[in-house]
Amino acid sequence: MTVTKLTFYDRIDNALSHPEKQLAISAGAKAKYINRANAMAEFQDMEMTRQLARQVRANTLSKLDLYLEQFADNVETLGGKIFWAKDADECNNYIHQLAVRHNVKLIAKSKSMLTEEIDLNDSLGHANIEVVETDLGEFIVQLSNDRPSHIIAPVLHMTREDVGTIFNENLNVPFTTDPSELNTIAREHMRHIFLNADMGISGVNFGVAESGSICLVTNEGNGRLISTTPRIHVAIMGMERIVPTLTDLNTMLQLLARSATGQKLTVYNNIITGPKRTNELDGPDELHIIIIDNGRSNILASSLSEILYCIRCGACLNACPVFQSIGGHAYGSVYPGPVGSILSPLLFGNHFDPLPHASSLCGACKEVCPVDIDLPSLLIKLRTQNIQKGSAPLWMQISQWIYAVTICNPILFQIFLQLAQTITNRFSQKGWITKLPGPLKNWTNQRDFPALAQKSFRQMWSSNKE
Amino acid sequence: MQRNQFVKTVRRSINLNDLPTINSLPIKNKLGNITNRATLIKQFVHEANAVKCHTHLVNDHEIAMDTILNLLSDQPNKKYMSWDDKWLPIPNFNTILKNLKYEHCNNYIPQDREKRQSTYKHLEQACIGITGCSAGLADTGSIILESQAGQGRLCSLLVPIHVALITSNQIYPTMGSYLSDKSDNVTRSSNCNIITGPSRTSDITQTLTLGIHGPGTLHIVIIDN
Amino acid sequence: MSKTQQIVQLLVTCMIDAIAPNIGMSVKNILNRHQCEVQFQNSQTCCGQPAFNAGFIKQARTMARHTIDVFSKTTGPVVIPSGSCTDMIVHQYPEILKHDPIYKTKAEQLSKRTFEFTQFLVDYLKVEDVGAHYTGCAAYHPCCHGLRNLNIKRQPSILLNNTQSLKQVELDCAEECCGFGGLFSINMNKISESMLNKKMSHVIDSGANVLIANDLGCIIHMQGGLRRKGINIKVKHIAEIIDDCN
Repeated sequence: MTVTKLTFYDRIDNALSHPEKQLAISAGAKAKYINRANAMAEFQDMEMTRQLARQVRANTLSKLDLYLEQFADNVETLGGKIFWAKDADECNNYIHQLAVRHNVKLIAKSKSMLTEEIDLNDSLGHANIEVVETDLGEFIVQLSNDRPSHIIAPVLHMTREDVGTIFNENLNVPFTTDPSELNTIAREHMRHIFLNADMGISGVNFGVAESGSICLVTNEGNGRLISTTPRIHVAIMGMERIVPTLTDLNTMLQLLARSATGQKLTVYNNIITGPKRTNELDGPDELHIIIIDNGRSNILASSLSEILYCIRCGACLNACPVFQSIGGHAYGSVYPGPVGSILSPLLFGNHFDPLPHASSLCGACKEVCPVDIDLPSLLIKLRTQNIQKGSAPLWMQISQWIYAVTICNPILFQIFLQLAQTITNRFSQKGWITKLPGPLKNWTNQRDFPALAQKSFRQMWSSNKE
Repeated sequence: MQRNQFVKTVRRSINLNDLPTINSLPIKNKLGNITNRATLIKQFVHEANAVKCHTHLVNDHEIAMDTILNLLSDQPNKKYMSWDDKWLPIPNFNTILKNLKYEHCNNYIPQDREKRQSTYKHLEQACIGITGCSAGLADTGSIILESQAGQGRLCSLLVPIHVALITSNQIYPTMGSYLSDKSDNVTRSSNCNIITGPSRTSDITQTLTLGIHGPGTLHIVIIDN
Repeated sequence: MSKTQQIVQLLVTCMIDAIAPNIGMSVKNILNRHQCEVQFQNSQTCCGQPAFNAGFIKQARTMARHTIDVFSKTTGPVVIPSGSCTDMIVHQYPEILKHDPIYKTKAEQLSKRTFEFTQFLVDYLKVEDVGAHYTGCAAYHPCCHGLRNLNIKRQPSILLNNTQSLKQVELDCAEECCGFGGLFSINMNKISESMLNKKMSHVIDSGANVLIANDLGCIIHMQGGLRRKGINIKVKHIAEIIDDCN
C-alpha cells in the first residue's frame, strides 16, 4: 500500500477543516448505522447467530492450515488453479504473467479491499494493462484518482455534485446530480468493459473448504459479470477468509448483509464452484484463486489474532464516532475505522502506530461487530505494545510512573491531592480553569477544566466522623 | 510460494497464538418453521416485494404464460433469452414463443475471443431473460438459480428485465432449511446464485437506485396449483 | 433502626474524591437511607483505569493490586458511582491479573462483589424509588463503559422515572460518546472536541436545563465544553439528582 508522507495529526487537521465532507461522511455513516440497527432489531435469534458466527470464525482460524488444504484440494479437483502468494509482489507478478500469457489487454475488476492493499492496479498499470473498476463507488474513485474512504461505501465522502463533476469531466457527459441519471451513465459506460474484458478480477468474501467454492457478494451485479463474461476469472483471497461448510457460509451471509447495509441478504450471493463445466453454456474457462498471506500469518501468531475474525462488513466504521468525525481518508490506510486502526499497524508497520490512540474506547464498534470482536481490548493491546516500544512521549511516561507510585501510597496520594488543589485553586475562577499548562493545554483549547474541591471527599469524610 | 511452505507457516502461527481451539460447534442454523404452504407463499411474496421485486401469484402455467406474454409485448423488440424448456415450469415455453415470432437468443458462449464478443453483442439486444429457479426462500424473498446445462447465467444477468418462474412447492422457509435438504445442489454446477431483488446501489449519497449492472427489474411468477 | 444494616464499601473514585466530593456524599446519604452502613477505606486511591486505557499495563497492574489489597480486608459489596471504574474492576482486573498466582483469585473475588451505584440500588437492594424530588428539565447521557460493558440502562431510567417533578426530554443520539475517553481528550483533542461539539448540539436541541450522567470524567468534559460556550446547562451526576428529597 502506498503510504502518504503526512502524519496522522496532519491528516486529522485536514479532515476536520473540510466541514462539507465531514457532513457527508457523518450523514452517510449514520444512515448505515441506523439501517443496520433496524435490520438487527427484527432479526430473531440475532445474538445467538452472532455468537455462532464468532465460533465459526474461531474454529476456522484454529484449524486454518487444514481448511486451506481441503479448500485447495477441492478447487483443484474442480479444475481451478490455486496460487499461494506470500506477499503483494508474488500475487501481482502471478497476475501480470497470466495476463501476458493470455494476451490480456483489458481487465474488469469488482470491488476488493485486498487488491487495494496490494496495489494491484498500479502494478498492472505499469505493465500497460488497463484495469477498470466496475463497482460504482470504486469506479468514481478510479476516475477521480482518489482513494476509497470506506470499505463498503468507497465514495462516502463525496456529494452528488462531486460525482456529477467527475462524470462530466471524465466521461464526456452533461453535468447532472441526479443519482439515477448518474447510475445510467455508469451502466452504459461499463457494459462495454464487461463484454470486452479478457480477464475478470475479484476478491473473495468467503471460501468454502468443504466444496472448494468461493462466494462473491455484490448488490450491483458486477461481481457476477466479471466472473461470467471474461474468459479468465482471477479471485484473490486473504488466507483467513475461509469458512468450513456451506451452512457456515449461510450464517455469515445473513450477518454480513444486515451488518453492512441493513439488508436481509445482499442482492447477489454468488457461489462459484470451479470454472465453467463442459456442458454449461456460459462462464469463464479458467478460474485462478490466489491465496495470499501478506502479513496475515504474523497477525495469526500474535496476541491480536482475533482481528482475523473480521468479515469486512464495515459496521464498526459506521458506528464509530471518531470515524464519523474524521472520515476514512484521515486514517491513511485502505482499512479505516476501528478495524483499520488495528489492522493497519499490523499489516503496514510503524507509520500507523498512532491510529490505535484515536479512540475514546466507547465500545460502539464491539457492540455492532457481527462476530463480536473485542475491538477496544485489541486497541488497548496495541497501545501497550506502542508503550513497550517506547513510542509514548516522555512526559506521559514519567507522569504515569509518578502516578503509579503515588496511587499505591495513600499518604503520598493525599499530599498529591492537596498540592494539586492548591495549584488549581490559584489558576481558577469560580471553580474553573480556562488555561492549563504544558501538554494539558490541549484540554483547555475548547473546554474549561474544574479546579479541585476545597475539601476532598476523604477530608469531608474524616471531619464528619469527628 | 510452495503450498507446503505456505501451510507450514500457517500451522506455526496457529501454535503460537492464544486463540481458543474449537472442535465442534454446539449450535446450528435455524431451519425456520415449516408452516403450511399458504403462509410460506404469503411470506415469500411479502419479502420479495419488500426488496422491490414484482411478484405475480398465479394458479396455473397458462396464466403464467399470459403474464410473461404481457411483459414481452411491452418491449421494444422481440428478442429474449431463456433457459431450456426442461428447466421451466411452463411446458413447451420456447416453442410457444417461437410460434409467436419471438426470437430466442442462444447464449452459448464460444471460447474464441472474436466469436465470444460478437455473441455478447447479439445477446445484449435481448430485452428479457426468463429462468426457472431451484428454490425460493420465504424469509428473505430470495430465489436460487444454478448454471447447469441449459441454465445460462446470462439470462438473469445481461438483460434489463429478469423474469423468474417458480412453483410454490419450491419455496423453503429459510436458506438453512434449503441447505439441510439440498446442499449438494448448490455445488453441482459452477455457479449458484442466491438473488434477493433487482440489482441496486446506494454508493452515491446513500440514495438507492436500481439496475446498475444487473437487471433493474425482477419479476417473480409464482405458480401455485 | 430495626432492620439489619447492610455493610457497604464505598469506592468513591479518585476523581470524585478530588473534584466533586459532594457526589460521594450524596451516594452515602442515599445508601444510608436504605439501611446501608457505608464504610470508606482511607487507603483507597485510583483503580488504575487511566493507565490501563493508555496502554501502561505495568502501572495498571500495580494500581489494581493496591485496590485489591485495600478491599480484600473488608466485607460487603463494593459500590462505585462510576460505570467505567466499575467496569475496570469487574472486567479488566481479572483479565490483567490472570497470570498472577496470588492476585488472580483475589481479583475474581473483588470482581464479583463490585457494583455500579444505580445497579446496586435497583438490582441488589431492589430499590426503585428513593423518594427523590428534583425540579428541572433533564436529558440523560448514558456513559459508554457503563452502558456497553455493564448494560446500565434500565436502572438509571427507573430511578429517574420515579423522581418527582423531574421532566425528562429525549436526547438525540444519546448513546453516542461525548469524546472524553481519558487521555484521548488531550492526546487527540481535535477529534475529542469534534465529538463533544456534536454532543453539545444534541443537548442544546433537547431543551434540557440539566444533563444527567453517571461518570465524572464525562460530566466534567461536557460541563467544561458547555461552560466555555457560555451555555447555562448544568451537568450532574445521577446521585446528586436523586439525593434531593426535600
